Amino acid sequence: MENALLSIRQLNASADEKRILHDIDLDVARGGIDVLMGPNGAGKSTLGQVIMGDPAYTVTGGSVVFDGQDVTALSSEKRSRAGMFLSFQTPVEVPGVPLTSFLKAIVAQHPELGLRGKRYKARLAEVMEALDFDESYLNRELNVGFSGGEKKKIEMLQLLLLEPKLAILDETDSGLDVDALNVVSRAIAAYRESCAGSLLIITHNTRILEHLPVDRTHVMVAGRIVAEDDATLVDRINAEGFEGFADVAGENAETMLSGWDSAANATSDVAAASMAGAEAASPAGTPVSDAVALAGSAR
Amino acid sequence: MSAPSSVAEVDRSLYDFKKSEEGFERLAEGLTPDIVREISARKDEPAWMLEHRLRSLEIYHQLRVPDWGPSIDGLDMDHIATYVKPNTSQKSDWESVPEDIKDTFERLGIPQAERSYLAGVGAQYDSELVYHNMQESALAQGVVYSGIEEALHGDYAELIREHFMKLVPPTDHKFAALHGAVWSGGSFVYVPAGVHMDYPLQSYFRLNAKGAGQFEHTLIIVEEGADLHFIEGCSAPKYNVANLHAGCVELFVGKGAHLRYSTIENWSKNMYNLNTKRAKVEDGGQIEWVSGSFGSHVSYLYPMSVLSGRGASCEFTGITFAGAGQDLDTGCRVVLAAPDTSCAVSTKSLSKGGGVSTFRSGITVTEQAEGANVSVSCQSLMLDDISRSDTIPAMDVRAEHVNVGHEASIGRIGDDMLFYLMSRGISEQEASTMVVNGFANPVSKELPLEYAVEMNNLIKLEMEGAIG
Amino acid sequence: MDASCRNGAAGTSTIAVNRPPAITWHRMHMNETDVALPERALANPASITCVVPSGLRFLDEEITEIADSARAGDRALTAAFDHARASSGHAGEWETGLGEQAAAWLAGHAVRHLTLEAPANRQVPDATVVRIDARAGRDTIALIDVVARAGSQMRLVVQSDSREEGSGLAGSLVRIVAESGARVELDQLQTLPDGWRHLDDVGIYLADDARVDATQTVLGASASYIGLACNLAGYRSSCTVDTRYVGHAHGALDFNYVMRQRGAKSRARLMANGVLADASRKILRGTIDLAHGCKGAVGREAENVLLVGEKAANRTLPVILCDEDDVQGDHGATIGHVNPEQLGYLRMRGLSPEQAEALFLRAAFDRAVGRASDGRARQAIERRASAVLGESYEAEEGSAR
Repeated sequence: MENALLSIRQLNASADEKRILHDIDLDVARGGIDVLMGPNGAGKSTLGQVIMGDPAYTVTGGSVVFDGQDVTALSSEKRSRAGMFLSFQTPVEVPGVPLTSFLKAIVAQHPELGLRGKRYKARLAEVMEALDFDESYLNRELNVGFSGGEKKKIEMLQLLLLEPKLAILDETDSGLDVDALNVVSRAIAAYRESCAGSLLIITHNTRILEHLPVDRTHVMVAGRIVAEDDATLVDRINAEGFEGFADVAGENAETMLSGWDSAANATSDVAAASMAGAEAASPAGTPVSDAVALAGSAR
Repeated sequence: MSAPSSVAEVDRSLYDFKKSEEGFERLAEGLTPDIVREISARKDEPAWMLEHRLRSLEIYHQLRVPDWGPSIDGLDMDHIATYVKPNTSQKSDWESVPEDIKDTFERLGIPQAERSYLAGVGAQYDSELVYHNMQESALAQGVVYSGIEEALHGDYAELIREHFMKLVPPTDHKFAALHGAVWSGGSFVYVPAGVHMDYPLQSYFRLNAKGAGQFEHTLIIVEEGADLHFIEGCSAPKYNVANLHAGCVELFVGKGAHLRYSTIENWSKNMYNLNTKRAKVEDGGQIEWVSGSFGSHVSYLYPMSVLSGRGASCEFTGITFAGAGQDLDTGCRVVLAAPDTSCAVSTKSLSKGGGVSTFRSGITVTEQAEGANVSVSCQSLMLDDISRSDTIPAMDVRAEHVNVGHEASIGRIGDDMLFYLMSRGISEQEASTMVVNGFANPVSKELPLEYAVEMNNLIKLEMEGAIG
Repeated sequence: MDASCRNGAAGTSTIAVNRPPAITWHRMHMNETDVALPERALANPASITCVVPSGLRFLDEEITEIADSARAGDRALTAAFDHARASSGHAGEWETGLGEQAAAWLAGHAVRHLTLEAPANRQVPDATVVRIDARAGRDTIALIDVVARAGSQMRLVVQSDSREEGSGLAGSLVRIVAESGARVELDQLQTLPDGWRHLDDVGIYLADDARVDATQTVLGASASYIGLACNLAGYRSSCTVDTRYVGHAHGALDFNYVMRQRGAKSRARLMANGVLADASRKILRGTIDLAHGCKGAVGREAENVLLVGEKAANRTLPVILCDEDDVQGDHGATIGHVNPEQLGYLRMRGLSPEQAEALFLRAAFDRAVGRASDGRARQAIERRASAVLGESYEAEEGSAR
């Protein structure tokens, strides 16, 4: 693709000596809305993180070019300042830092936005209203004690304030979370309106794409891009699942694909969510650890 | 040096005090250079060892007893020499061993033949044979396992000299100094580079004819890339009339080497156990401590790990059970003195029948320990309301990019848990024992099976209050 | 360690402060701290102002001489203490965090003695505000005694700061007796410039169902010695202490907290959070003492220390002493740098590691502003923040209480 905003060529990456991404080729056009889909474990979220320069992964080959600049060796913060943005599925908690302090600090990395003083306050108020964001959140510590939906709002708030050239949204778990989906949809609409930015939406549930004019669809299975087409590919996947891509993906694909279908996937999302909730409520351990009160987790 | 076949044959005159013209009479029971010289002479030691003993004695007289831990008033410090030389009027026979000790042997199912040995009143041939076999098969793998006194007369004398009390210098504390002056007996183990010992070496079988090994010195050197598991002690109580144990253990773990040091300390309940154990770990080396403290009247026990090489690590798993009449101050110390070092400490503490258990730890992360990772966890269980449990963990962190986490908790067995078990027909006593065994599980699962079983039996007895 | 003051150089006494109930190996250097106190002139009593809301009875005395004998206020406190002790049926000594020597020194060198009494069942929502505007070259010390009668509620704010060139010593000794069902909020803020020293001592006695919630915000001075001891003598008594601090340059922070849980079902909570930058040092000792008889008591301690300076050094001694089985005691401490996951997130939002560290440091001031009790406090925090961050600091809008 000519003059693509994001151009990934033969990208290979590993974590802990284990290869996760294989020969990825992917372009996102300027102003485009691209979707990255694939079954569980395909490596979609990983690709998002590698594009943003997450040091947990080692790039073993290939390149990432953003807005004409080779960013393959660039640190995360430099990529962010260059106009790249990644919204997380479960953003980490950062105790000790009030949300308001954090927002000010990240906005300061983008002087081109001119958001200072009154302008900043006005813009913040505007964005908070667009997302139906409660002011009381501002004094709370970043992501600490926020629900999933609230954390999503905080991610979207940052998206709208920073107006990045490319927004990579990792919505792989959004699944049936109606609130989260709403927030993201609204945010995308506002984002497109205010700065016509490009989007790469990572998902395996198509709900979120319902009212979006998707330009390109990329399909990923077992760490490889196995297909690419326009928006019609989304409908095909909805109807047939990812079975058809097994041959292209290679050996590992079978295990990844087995059990995929929209309904089953939806159920397993709920099951996974309720299991995670149950685990959080009663920490595992020897029987005695229940009897003896334990301190909060020391890291 | 031939191994005596029974305690009765040992030359007791070694410890007979000789009055000298210089008027030492007044200090009849004091620890004097003369006594120390005698000890050294009888062991036919090299000159440097005698010098070491004498220097230690001087230091001993200069240092004060600790003021921050349990009282050791019961130790007769003015007559410390009596601990060094057994009371010559003592009948060294089975009859003089207290009834409750004999009873415990019975309850723990200790074979008759071993009982005298444990009570310090007799040797037994079986253990000598086992020890001998252990030595031979270890040697077949290149591993030297012998008495340390013997080794001082052999090929490893220089090696021992290079290491002896370098890790625990006499200046460390008063009882390290005492140890330096009057130490006697103990194990020496040398594992050459790259050698992986297939099975654990056990100190229990190493004959110690002079009694319960009150001033034993253990020195273990594990060279680069080697691997050893050493087990000290046993669950049966070791009894001795002279009630001070001031032993010393020094462990040297080379680059990339691995040493697991397991102990079940169960000194009889008249004992003052002032033991010093320390390990030094080189680059990429690892030390694992597995420690069960059950006996003694008073204990001061803090195995210490000095992580001096990059990437060195230590793991400490321990349990302390303080019953009636016991004041056990135990824990561990770790010094992280190199980059990327790490340590994980997990201890459990039980108090019952008026016992006092104190968990005391000291973690020091020096300026050199960038990238250090530390986690300390201590859980204490109070088994009744007449006992005590204290947790005194200290952390000193002087490097920036580190991660140090600590957590501790204390409480009792939940009523709901007891009720649940009892509703299934289990008596309250059994239920408590079950819970406590579960509590002790992290330690018992690190021990070889027969030791784990012994430990569980010991816990059972402690829970019944059957051990005096 | 004998309890008498030691006299050193002409007119200097040295006192030992912050000795915890259970000590550890001396070589860890955590058992207590020596503070040298040169004898010098007291500050003008006018350097301390007290604003007392209506609803409270009070006595406000100016003092111009170092005193040894008990004052009228002392007698009032002693009487209240004895009364509270008698009514709750508990024995127990009066104890402060810094220790006997320090408490005696502070009481003897105070230039203002404020005694407050909240009458029985009186709820006073407005805070009593004591501002210590310390004088250079002098000792500016406030002695504040609080007696909260049964069922009363009140709030005390103490702010220590200085606008003067030079340095000196500022301090306060706060003694609180909370009778049955009384509730006291204590809010302390210290924003002294570099070069100053600060001694902050608190002693609390709680009767049945009494409660004290204390907040300590320590942002300034080159050496701060802070101690708080609470005797939770009463049944269902409760004490929480929330400490926030910032260490910078070569500053030293020295804390000692002691919660004596004697009353059944008593609740103690110690929380401390701080950031240590540059070459600052801090030692915090926190002791939860579950005494025999305090059935159903819960004592918790949590500490979080963020190290963002190469030469920063932290010492922590979180102790639980337990002589009772039907209790829950726990503590947790986390010490170290920003964790990699958090750092990764901040970097992906454009912050370099250095900027991330700066964010945490700045955030400590932002949070302090968030809980500032009034405009003056806010300004003091902003001034101190500007000095520490080396840039003009403006608090966030809408973040003051």
